[in-house]
Amino acid sequence: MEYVLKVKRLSKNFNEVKALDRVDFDLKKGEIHGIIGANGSGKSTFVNILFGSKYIRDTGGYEGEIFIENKKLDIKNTHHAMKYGIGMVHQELALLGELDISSNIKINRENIIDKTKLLGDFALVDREKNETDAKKALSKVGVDINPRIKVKDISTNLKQFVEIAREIDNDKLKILILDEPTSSLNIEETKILLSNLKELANTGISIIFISHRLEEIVDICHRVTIFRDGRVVSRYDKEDFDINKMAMDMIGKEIVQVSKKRKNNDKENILSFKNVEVSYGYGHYKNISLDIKKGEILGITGLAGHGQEIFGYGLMGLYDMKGEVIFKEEKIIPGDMERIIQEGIYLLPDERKELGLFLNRSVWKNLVFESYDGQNRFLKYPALGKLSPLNHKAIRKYSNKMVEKLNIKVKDIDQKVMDLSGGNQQKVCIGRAITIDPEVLFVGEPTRGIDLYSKEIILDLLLELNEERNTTIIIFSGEISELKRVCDRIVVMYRNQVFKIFDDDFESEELSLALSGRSLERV
Amino acid sequence: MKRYNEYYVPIFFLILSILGIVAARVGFNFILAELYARFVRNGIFLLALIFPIMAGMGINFSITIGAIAAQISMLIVMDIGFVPSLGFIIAILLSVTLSIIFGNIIGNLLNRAKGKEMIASMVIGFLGTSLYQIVFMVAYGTVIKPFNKDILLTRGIGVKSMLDIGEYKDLFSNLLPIRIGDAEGSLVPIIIIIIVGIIVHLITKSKIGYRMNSVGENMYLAEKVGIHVDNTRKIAIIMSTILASLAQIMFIQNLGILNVYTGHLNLDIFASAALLAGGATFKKANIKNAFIGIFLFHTLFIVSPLAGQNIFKNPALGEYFRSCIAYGTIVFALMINLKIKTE
Repeated sequence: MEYVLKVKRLSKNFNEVKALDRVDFDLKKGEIHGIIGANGSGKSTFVNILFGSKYIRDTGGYEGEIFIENKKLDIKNTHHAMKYGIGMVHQELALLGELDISSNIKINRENIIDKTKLLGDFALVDREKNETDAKKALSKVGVDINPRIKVKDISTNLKQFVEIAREIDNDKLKILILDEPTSSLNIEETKILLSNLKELANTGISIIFISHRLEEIVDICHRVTIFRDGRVVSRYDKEDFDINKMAMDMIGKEIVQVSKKRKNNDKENILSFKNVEVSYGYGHYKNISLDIKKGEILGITGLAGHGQEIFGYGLMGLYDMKGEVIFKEEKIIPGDMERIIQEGIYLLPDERKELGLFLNRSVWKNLVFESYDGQNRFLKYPALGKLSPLNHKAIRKYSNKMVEKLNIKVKDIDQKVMDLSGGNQQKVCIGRAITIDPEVLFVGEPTRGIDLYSKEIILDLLLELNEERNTTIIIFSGEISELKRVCDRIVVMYRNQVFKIFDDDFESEELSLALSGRSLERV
Repeated sequence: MKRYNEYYVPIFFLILSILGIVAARVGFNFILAELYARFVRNGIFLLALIFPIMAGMGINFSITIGAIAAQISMLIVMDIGFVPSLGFIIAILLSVTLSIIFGNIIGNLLNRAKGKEMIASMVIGFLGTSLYQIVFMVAYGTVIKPFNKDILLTRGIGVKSMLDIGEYKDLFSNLLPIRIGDAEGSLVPIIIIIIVGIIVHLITKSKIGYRMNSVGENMYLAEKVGIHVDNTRKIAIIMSTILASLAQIMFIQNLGILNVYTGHLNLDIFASAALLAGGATFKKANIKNAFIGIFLFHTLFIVSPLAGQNIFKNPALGEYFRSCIAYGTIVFALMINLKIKTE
């Protein structure tokens, strides 16, 4: 079988830290090659080098050799990589929100009107053809949506499909790199995507597939390479796949899954939405109600675009929400951020890079910023209020403790968040939420892009927060198996309405049916 | 209400203009005649600002450099002494060439000042002005020997501060004559501007236009999807400089006088104020904004001194009012921009 890609002794240093250490790798034509590893194990660095990321160049380039179809190449930039037929779906989506879906899919590859071809770069773009192409590419990943909608108006899950469609649309595509494509998708969507990927591989495109979900890897990959601390620790062929062994290789130790001891649920309501109206994108939804009980962990789930995030986003003003919201028997106005945060409600959005982090600030600042700014903690002279200098000693002690507790991989707490891997950034976000210690915490996709080991740490921390401080936690997520483990109740959303609330029978068939808007009686 | 956001500024200017017209007590014909001249002189400047805004670089205050390119070309053409029609074409070709060179330099500089393009372009404009003044005030007559001694000051060093190019003014006077209000003019400059407008519009719909839009929205992501960000930004600046030089040639031709040392000053401020008055923002601009803006802003510009005179019996007040409007518009647009951003 011919090799599309061969990598020999690839190394990369960030300052003094070895991110990749003499990695050998190869990829056959039409193969799906899985890469797994814990957060910060070098997977993302590896694919970023292949894709000619600017970040790699700016930090001093790479060492080692890359061969594509037996030709030795120096991948200078992204444009280069694309010319060689490499496409990549980024973990934190590279889509332009202000442009519509078709422009995003055809970006830098626009169809032009034939008559104006002579004008080169100034040739006119054929918008209609772009739209039909976009529709075609989207249908290949199993999505049917109007390509004129602006990307900022669609849900994160759909964005993922749009991004994949963008790469598939490239007819020169030889190697498709997918960096955790399923992390924002739920079970149904994942199934659709995986079967589409298999078909794609059958047409001769080679796929590098990065995921934390071992079941998926085992399902679709022909081979799997495992990274740990910047090295390749092992490689498995399809017939040798063994999830337990792979997990051991990845982490280097065994994982214990956490789960919640369920409590009684006959408590008072802490937060109630009464017939609220929510609008976002082009949709407008009415009569949505939900009661959240004090001290519970509530899971909200649903298929992509069915509105699992509307309560958190609506309350915090990210979506337009109108109507009656009652917090501890008092009315609050959705979108009145200042008061809502003062009352002790906090949201960790699922798009952490856009909404949740100060990327070019240090880890400690991201951890404690809102606490000293909003809550006057960590101050040297609290009496001075905002004028007081910070108590750096306490902050450092606290941050170091937090970093250790959350297993965040950093050089030190002064490192910029931008330099951390995706999963570690997520942990910093969770760390901040814990620092703020809210009464009600909305968390979006808390474990997205996080390895198996760290996942349990985060879930455990959320449980701890809930048990020790009696924080009410609302998790909106597509990861149903995780919700089942930690939640007291699970709400299934369908078409932006509360479809059904499950109290205990999480394992029932009804829950899976509810996701697609069906119930047992009607089947 | 949100969808009318982009019309707030133009409506505000429309109301101000109407109030101004009422207070100035001038005839409609007078205003039309003035507007014709100002449309011809300033129209393309506004179009020149569109590409850099699309590419996310904000307002390109260094369009003054484009204007300088036009003045240099015009001076050289005058110096050599071509007949007006040939001279006009040579001046255009020369200024486009110079603009491409200058635009390249500006583009490279602005690519090093990512995120601070507006202030950087302003300073580059100042620098260009000084260099240009040194060359024509000191070098001409000493280092550079002109063909035509008449363009020099009587001491033999430095170009005169004002050159008469009346023969260029009559270039279009017999072609497609029209009467607009009190003015007699030609339709040709208007047609030229409309054609340039259409070209600009088509470029925004072209491959490069799409690229500029992407870069303008987020250059880091644009880089990730394989767009040459620096190159795209440079092209935006080069085209902006070329358009600015064409605009200045139109300006000089229509005026019939070449103000060697001052002709290019302040036009960046007035052009950007007019574009912003037309509803553009620092992130979004199209030719609709340019054409609406030029009429609204310049109407106000024409009537404000007269209105000042009528209301306060003091014409000087109107003059100050003019600059107040220009800078006021920019600051106002800045505030509106920030507001929209936070929403």
